[in-house]
Amino acid sequence: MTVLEWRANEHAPSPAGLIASAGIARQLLHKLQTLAADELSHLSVVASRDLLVLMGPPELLPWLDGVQYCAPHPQARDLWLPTHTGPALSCDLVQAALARRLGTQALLLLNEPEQIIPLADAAYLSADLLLWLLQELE
Amino acid sequence: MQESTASLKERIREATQEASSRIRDAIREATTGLIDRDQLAELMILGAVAQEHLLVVGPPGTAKSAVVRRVAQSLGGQYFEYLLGRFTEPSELFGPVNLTKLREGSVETDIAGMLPEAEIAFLDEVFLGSTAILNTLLGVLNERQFKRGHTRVKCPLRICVGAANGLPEDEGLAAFADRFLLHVFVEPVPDPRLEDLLEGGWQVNHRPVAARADLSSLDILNRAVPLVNMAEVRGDLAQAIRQLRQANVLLSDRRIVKAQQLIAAATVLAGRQVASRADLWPLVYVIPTAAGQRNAREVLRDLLAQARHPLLQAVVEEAVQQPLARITRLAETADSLLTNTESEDFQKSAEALLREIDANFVKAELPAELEERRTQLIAALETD
Repeated sequence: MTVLEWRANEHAPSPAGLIASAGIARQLLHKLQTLAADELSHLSVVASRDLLVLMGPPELLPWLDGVQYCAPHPQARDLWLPTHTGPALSCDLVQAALARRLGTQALLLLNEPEQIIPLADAAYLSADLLLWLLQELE
Repeated sequence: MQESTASLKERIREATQEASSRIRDAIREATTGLIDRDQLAELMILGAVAQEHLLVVGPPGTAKSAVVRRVAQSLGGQYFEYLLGRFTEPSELFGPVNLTKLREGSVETDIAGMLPEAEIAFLDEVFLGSTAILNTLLGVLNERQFKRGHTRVKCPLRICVGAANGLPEDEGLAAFADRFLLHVFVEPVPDPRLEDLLEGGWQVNHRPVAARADLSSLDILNRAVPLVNMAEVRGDLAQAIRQLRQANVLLSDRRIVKAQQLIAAATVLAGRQVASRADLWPLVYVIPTAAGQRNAREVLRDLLAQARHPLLQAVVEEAVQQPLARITRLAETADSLLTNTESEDFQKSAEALLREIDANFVKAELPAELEERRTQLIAALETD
């Protein structure tokens, strides 16, 4: 069920993260394995049951057909949203409402399907963590 | 007369085509390594073609002077730059009084290498100038005439860029600020682009700017400005002003009339001789305040939706802030990459472009101009 009304962004921010569905998560992890250790250390990751969220500087975020990009809202830094869209409501109000329910922390709010992913426990990437994630996807 | 106008039009058409690619090269050359400053460089080009001046408002350290200096270098004109202070003497800008002539009873100024001889000028902290400086500057900016004592000189100034940390509240200074028809507000580079800022800043300090265009190209374009047919766009412009007035965004009659000069310059730079709705976007930069410009983008949303420009893409994108305005730039970058798929950095550049396309549009709503190019880029990456 969709609770919020969403609108296309007039000005997409520069990506600060990407969202990969389970279907392409493996491909993403393999691509990340080609990065050097110091590049990996600039990236952090959060995994949910069916999504993998990778955060870091835009030039280190790999491009893959089918991933979606996200970034924190400039006026509500704890609220991460897809870069191409956002709630029709004022984002600081949405952030305040989420903080009341879930506490003050960085949260990714997705539109399709509408869901909230906490980002506070993101782990910095390393070769070991990549291997572990790949094994988990087996 | 009829013949000379026709021949001028033909020369202009040829010169526009030739100048277009050179000016695009010059903008790229000037802004390589400077993050989010293409808009400023493109406004300088628009101002130089319209022969109108540009005021840049923003906090210190936002690369204002670096952009102006680099655009001036890439255009190859006589450049003058000065940081004004409360104690700046007129002679520091306009040149010292000639003592030999003074002994003969004539007050003349030695202007060699000074502002009256500049083709492109940059005056930082422009509102800190004394009354004597600002009064003389008014003449240079408005009439392109330098008058001091017995010295009367016609100035070759194409554009003066003034910079300040904020707009002046003092009425006298506000009137001076009004002489800059274009106003642009710059912000520090946002958080997600700090890495780019650091990398770009490092490169900028180690790379000189090469001259990629020349002022004579801009002059030919300037001569084409009065020949632009404005009839089609005048009704839309009047309607835009009415909408702005209803929203309490007020413009002086002088600025409204002069906005046509910028619209015509945008038309010429697009290689056309008839102005259309696509060329109305400079109106946003004629609005003197940042809040007014933000309101104007909202109020004029429908009118600005058709804004496009083949050369000045970043500035149009900023003016209208609608995803459609980004299409032209993304499509052009894709075309340029697709002609050079063998280059060393093709993969990196193509992935960066695909990332930007996907960050702006969901696949299902991808505009037709980008859909095909996106597919071609992916195919080229797969064979790489």
